[in-house]
Amino acid sequence: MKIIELEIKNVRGIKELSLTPNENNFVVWGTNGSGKSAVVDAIDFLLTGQIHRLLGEGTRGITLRKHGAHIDCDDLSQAYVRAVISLKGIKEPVEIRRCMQDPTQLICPPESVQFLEPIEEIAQRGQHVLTRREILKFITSTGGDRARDIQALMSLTDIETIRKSLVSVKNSLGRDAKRVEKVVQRSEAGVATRVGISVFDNDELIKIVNQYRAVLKGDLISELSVEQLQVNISAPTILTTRPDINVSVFESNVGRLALPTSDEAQVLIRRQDENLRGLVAGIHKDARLLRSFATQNLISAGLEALDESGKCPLCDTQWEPGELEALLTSKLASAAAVEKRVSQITQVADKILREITKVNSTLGSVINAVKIIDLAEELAILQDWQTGLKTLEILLDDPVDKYHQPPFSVEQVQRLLTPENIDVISSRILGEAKAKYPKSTPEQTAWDTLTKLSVDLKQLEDACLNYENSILAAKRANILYDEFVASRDQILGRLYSVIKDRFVEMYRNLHADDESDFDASLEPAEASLEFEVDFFGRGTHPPHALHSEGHQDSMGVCLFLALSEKLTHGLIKLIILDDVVMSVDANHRRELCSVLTKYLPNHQFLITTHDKTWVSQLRFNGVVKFNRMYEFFDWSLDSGPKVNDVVYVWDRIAKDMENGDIPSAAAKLRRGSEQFFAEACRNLAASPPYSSDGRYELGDLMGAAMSRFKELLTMAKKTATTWNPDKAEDIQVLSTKRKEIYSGLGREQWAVNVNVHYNDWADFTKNDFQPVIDQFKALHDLFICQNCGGMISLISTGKTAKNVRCPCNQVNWNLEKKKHN
Amino acid sequence: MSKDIRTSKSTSDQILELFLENLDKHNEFDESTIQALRELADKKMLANQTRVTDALKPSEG
Repeated sequence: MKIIELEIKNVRGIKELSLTPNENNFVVWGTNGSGKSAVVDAIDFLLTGQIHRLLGEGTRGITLRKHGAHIDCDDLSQAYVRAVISLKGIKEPVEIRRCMQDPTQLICPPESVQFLEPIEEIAQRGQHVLTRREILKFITSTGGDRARDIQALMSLTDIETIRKSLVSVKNSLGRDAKRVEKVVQRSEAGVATRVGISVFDNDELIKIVNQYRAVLKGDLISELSVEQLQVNISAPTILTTRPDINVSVFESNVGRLALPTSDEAQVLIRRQDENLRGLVAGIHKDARLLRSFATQNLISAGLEALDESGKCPLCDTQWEPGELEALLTSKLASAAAVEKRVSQITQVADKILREITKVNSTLGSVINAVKIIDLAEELAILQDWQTGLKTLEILLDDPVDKYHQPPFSVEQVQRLLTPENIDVISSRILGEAKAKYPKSTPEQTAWDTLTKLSVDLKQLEDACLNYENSILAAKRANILYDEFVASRDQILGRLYSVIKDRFVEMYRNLHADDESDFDASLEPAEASLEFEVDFFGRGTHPPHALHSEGHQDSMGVCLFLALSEKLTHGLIKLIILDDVVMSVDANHRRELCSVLTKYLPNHQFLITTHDKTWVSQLRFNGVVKFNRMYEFFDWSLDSGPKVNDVVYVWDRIAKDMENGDIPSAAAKLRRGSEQFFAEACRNLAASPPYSSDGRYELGDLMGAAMSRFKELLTMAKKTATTWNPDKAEDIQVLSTKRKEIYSGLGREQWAVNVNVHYNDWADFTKNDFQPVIDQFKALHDLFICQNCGGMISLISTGKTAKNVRCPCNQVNWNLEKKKHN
Repeated sequence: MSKDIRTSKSTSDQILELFLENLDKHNEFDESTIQALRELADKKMLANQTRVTDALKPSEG
């Protein structure tokens, strides 16, 4: 997209303005407050429906609706920006318009919508506008800010959102897997308890199952599974009706109820319980450890919630990316002591929990039977026990917080809360069962046990399957996250590498005189984008560590141009450089002109500046034609800026002469010529006489430029014959012309040299002064290409003068003889 | 050259494409899981935690 015509009405400080850059580069220049930036704002508004300068930090209370239109414009339908633009994909120019009355709507022909949408999207990201503030963003910002800003330019916020989400998925599935693992452990304990062994052991279980199967005349099995458990055996048929309770199994279960009260078991649990109480009390006694434990949970949660922006998830304080994470990780590491203690505590608590699981499993079966036998008092006691065990389980699941001074004594816990009179209760319920139900045969007991075991086994198998699935899902989530980050880094790494190479190429071109071997690195590191530059072969450093402000500005412009070229995808060819060369010296500005024309020849630049010298340089170095330079001046609230697009100095002088205003014409000729010959001296490496204060008069600059021109032309004349005869003839014609012009100046020497400093020109008559103007014009033209309007420049390699060229290369004098093979 | 950054694909699209391609090399991912993730990517739903979690869980049976 390039601008052909631009019309601004009642926007910011502009009342009414029309510019016609006609797809060419254009310059808007003028003093501070002349309304230059309003043009940038207007284009911003046209492309985005926003004025981004009115957004962001420090703009509270400023709105587009209130402050976008001219302050005196009450009718927002009369505040608009209109442009005729060229669009990639559409042959004919397209007219677009946006009005302050409805900033969201870009008025355009329907057939252009599909072409304009991607442009609007890119413009929203501001990839085509560089201000001085933006330069600082690229150069002096932190790695994290730089990464965020550049990624915003690339519209990668969706990628960051996905990454954060994948972190949550990974953490959530990881927690799921741990939870399911506990279910497996408990199911294993249930199976072990069912057959009366203390620890789940596959071989031991098969042995016991085979014993039951033998009772039922079944053959041996070698694999423990629900399908195999009762394969090829049948239920015993001795009893016509099956009792509700298998007395043998019940007897066995009831017998196990008293197991926790055995001396051996009590000693074991007591030891664990005392150990646990001691460890927990130890943490609670030590305030530092306790605080450490409390913050450890918070830190762990915080670490999970951290994102790559480096912002604190609790208070939104902005940290350097990775810095807060490093701090939290180090805090967690320094809490290693508490971590170790917590791990010990959890292990001990788990041992007691496993014993409780066994008791619970038996107790549950017994309670079910007692309900059938209908012994209310005993049932209540057993149910109280079951409730107590559940409470104990809850405490042991979170021991550091909940097992400090638990509501159970050591004596209670050591017998796993078993009622004091468990023998009496057991005896009573067993007696009642035996009285009510016939004693089961060994076959029936074997069958019932295998049947219940198959239920337990099914539970365990389901838990195992669930666990396998959870582990697989957790693994996938980890891989998913790792691959996502790796893919992001790989693509961004390649992109940054291309951008870096282009940046280095442009910067070397811009600073060929002092940093021709310049190099840089632009690499993603974690969440940041590290940008370091070579400092005169003394290693790489941050760009603002050692380089001057001018160099930093050059880097900012080059990096922006490299980014802009890559990221606008060729859709927006308009690049706005809003007052960006403040600290760049005159010589390097000239090189910047060369970078703009050499590297981005098909782009359209809008350059705003308050610096007249820079304007001249842009013109004389072929960036902008004289009829695309708009001078803004005399801004007033009522009229906005006055615009002088007749900036061609000779037209302005002619106008003064027409009006008989000799002093004004003389002043313009002098100031214009000083600027012109200063640029000519720079372009041709001419040396005016030494001036201790670095200030030069017109005579110094003009004399030096003329001598240098003659010297270079003489060199070109000598080599021209070695290239081709036409060239030699051209140079000869030019040489003759030069002599005539120099002689003409000599004829008017009295006028040219008035008081040496040209101060008395103002007193001339029109007839006296016109020949002076004509001679100066002819002299200026010698240095200018009549095709592109750019000034000729000397191209050297080191100290060797190679040739003299204009920006379009139509003027091209070889200063070296052609080498013949 | 689908991964070539010089193509006109957005950087985000290139990242997602490479990411999905790379999942193929992991045995943990079967074709249907990758397909489910591709569909989520196409529908711009890769940031939906519930949908991604469901896609990662092995199918029952």
